[in-house]
Amino acid sequence: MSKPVSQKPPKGVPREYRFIGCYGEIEEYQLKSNNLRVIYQYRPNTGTATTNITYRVGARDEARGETGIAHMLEHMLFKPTTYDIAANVTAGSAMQFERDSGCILNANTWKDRTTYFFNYPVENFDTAVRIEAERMTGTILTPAVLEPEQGNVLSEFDMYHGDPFFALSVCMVSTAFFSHPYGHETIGYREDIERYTAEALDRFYRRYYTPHNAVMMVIGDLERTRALRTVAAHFSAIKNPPTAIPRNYPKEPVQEGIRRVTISRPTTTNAVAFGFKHAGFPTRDWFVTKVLFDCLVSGPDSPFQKKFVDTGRCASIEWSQEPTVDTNLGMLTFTLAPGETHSNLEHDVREAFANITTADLKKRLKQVIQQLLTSEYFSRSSSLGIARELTEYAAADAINVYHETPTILRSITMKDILHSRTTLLDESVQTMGYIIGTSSHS
Amino acid sequence: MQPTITPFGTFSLAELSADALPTTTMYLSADIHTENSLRYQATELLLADMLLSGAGSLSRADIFGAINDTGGSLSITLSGGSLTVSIKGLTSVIPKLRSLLTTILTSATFNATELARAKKTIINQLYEAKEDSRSRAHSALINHYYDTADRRYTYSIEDTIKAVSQVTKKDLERVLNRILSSYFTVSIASDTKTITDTKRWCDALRKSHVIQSKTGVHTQRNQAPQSLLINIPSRQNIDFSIGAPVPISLHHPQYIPFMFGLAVLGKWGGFTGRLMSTVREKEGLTYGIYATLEQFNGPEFGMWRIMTFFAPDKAVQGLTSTFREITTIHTHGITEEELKRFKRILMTGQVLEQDSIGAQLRSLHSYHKEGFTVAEIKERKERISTLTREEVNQALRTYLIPSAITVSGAGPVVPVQKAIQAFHKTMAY
Repeated sequence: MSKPVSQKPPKGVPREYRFIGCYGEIEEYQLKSNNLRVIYQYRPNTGTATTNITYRVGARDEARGETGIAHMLEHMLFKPTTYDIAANVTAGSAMQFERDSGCILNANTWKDRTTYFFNYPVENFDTAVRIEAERMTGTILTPAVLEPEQGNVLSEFDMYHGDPFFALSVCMVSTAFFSHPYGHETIGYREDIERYTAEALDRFYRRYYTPHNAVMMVIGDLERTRALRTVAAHFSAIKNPPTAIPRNYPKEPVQEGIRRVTISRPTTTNAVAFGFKHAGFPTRDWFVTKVLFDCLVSGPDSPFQKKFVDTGRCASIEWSQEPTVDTNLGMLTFTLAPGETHSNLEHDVREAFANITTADLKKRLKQVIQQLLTSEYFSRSSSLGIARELTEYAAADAINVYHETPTILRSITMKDILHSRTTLLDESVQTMGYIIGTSSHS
Repeated sequence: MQPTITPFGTFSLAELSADALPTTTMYLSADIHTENSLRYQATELLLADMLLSGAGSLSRADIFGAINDTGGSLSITLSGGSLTVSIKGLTSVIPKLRSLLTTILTSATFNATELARAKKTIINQLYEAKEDSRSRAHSALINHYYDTADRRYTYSIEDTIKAVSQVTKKDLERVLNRILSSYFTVSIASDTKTITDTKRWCDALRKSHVIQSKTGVHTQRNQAPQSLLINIPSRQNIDFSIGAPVPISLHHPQYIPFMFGLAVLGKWGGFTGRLMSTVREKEGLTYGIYATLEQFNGPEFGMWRIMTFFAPDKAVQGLTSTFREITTIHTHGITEEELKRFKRILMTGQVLEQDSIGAQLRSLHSYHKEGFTVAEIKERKERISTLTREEVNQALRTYLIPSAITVSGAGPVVPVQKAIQAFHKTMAY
């Protein structure tokens, strides 16, 4: 549970709620009847609002043979519900809402959570909340509804899989994690997607789509009492299953030494990717790792850009680090220029990484922290942006850290990032990946 | 927050003023198009990097150090003769970023070492672009309709790589001079003081420059519709760009009705368009399919385009469904229900811009750089609500002709090339 900054309840909180705390402008509540968490932030004078419901279920909850099922289920929540059928809404309320109002809607699934959001003019608030409540319990999962959408998900899979970088990341995570479910990508394996059954989806849905496994966010030009009353009106009566959800996540065995994987494709792309296991989000160590790699890689004047891109050895370098609850694999990917070899590049990057000095990083550290602090201002300047960012903190049950993030960033020192670098030099946290392109440029 | 746009001779300034704003965003655009030779295009690719690689006594490291010290950003893009500079940061650092931009624009050094470095970087990026099937399908469609002298035409990657290696300091200076002798459109969201200072800064920057009027070349070719297929065997899906030129400008009375009709067909983003409802939702043939108007600049004509992808074994089926929807809307137009619904949808889009200053400024600048006044922007936005079904359907009948459409695809096309070509022949003239 999050640790609040202030525990003094604001005025106008309906009695259906337990007040959890305030974190800056964010207020956290819990519905007494079913423990649904509700996050509220007031943004006056915009005429707009965003509602976002995050379920604490994602790829990490998937068994072998059912990889990607959380993502498949996300697609199904846009289909007609039992309530829609009863009301003769053939398109499904969520889609109909978009068609009728022009709201922005979407959803996404990740390793630890699945999230659905609407952004709309405030007069549509009640409709948005009603839709989320209805699809929490009324989603229809039958073979007839599943089959056409399975085609769309396979199409999405093919879109990702056509990218050699995505294909490499699939191989690298499955190599890095023997046991932990982070060892498969959120979209799952094609072979599993093709074999989903409506029964399996229904089991998954009933197990995880419950009020006590959800966080509902209301951010926008909506007065507090109205916002909370509306959520209570639509959600209070929804019951949780009689038994708690068991979450028995396997513990990843200790890695002994470096791991390697290669993919070979008829492409002109060649790449070397360094996978580093890093701490979960939003621990302080997660932010330290992010700052380390931003110092090394982010921006045209970063040490690695100068050393590998400016010299013509690589076309590009990228660091990706996901906000996942448990230890995950961050990836530092170098796209090779024609003529560069994988083994040479790997060797030289290792050397550069090991030999980074305080002098290299001193100026960069201050700049990177300032850039991250400034970008927080911009990302928190819209209700949609706030909801997007809060989702990751909600998934980790750490809403308070959203408010504390600037303080954490300001506290990061040179000692912290050099220590992080030393930890990552240990080959037992590393997985290497190569893309070998078998086509030539000529 | 009400915007204002004020012309000042050598520049115009669009303002969104809010005194409680802790951050500032500013865009500066200039249309410098006069030619589109291969040499010019190669120079354009290098110029943004080179402007940030040395100015006055500042080295590349100094410039980036100065930007990074502010925590903000200063970025430059130049493509198709359109320059945009973007400055963002906490309001307190904006004077430093503006001052840096002045130095960059007025004292660029274009030294030989940095030029050699930039060439290597750009050439490596061009090699990577060979596998970008979406972009290649798009370029092929545009190139089919526009001549090499037109700003929209893109030279082949191989030719561009050769040309980049030949760009000189003089080439860069020539294009920079063209920038400095162009009219600037500047849009800013900030507090009153910063906006006043920015106006003063624009005055100073433009003081010693004479605006030279330019005549860009606009040469659309009168081409028959074709199927254009590029084989990129490493891809899983075939990316398609499907479309045709539209002989009207942004300011033409039929632009808004046609834009509306195209939104009904395939509104960009979301699930509301007919194409997403049928080709994706009902038929499961693709993950995304959208339609848009693009390539418009000021008084120049543009084109309409559908963007999508299909698995190779679904390509002909996907194209058949897409052309079915095009033909249906061309022949029968939109319904009264669709007219009402899409008016609501598009007007909601305007309301949702109020969710952030950033969205409002982006929208304002997009109109501002095309020469619209505040009154014209308001009128244009309100025009949506007064459209009639007949106006929309007339525009669709005139410009969305199913037999005059080119299909451009890039990806693993070889197994289905003949089938796609045969299908296209059944649709085209």
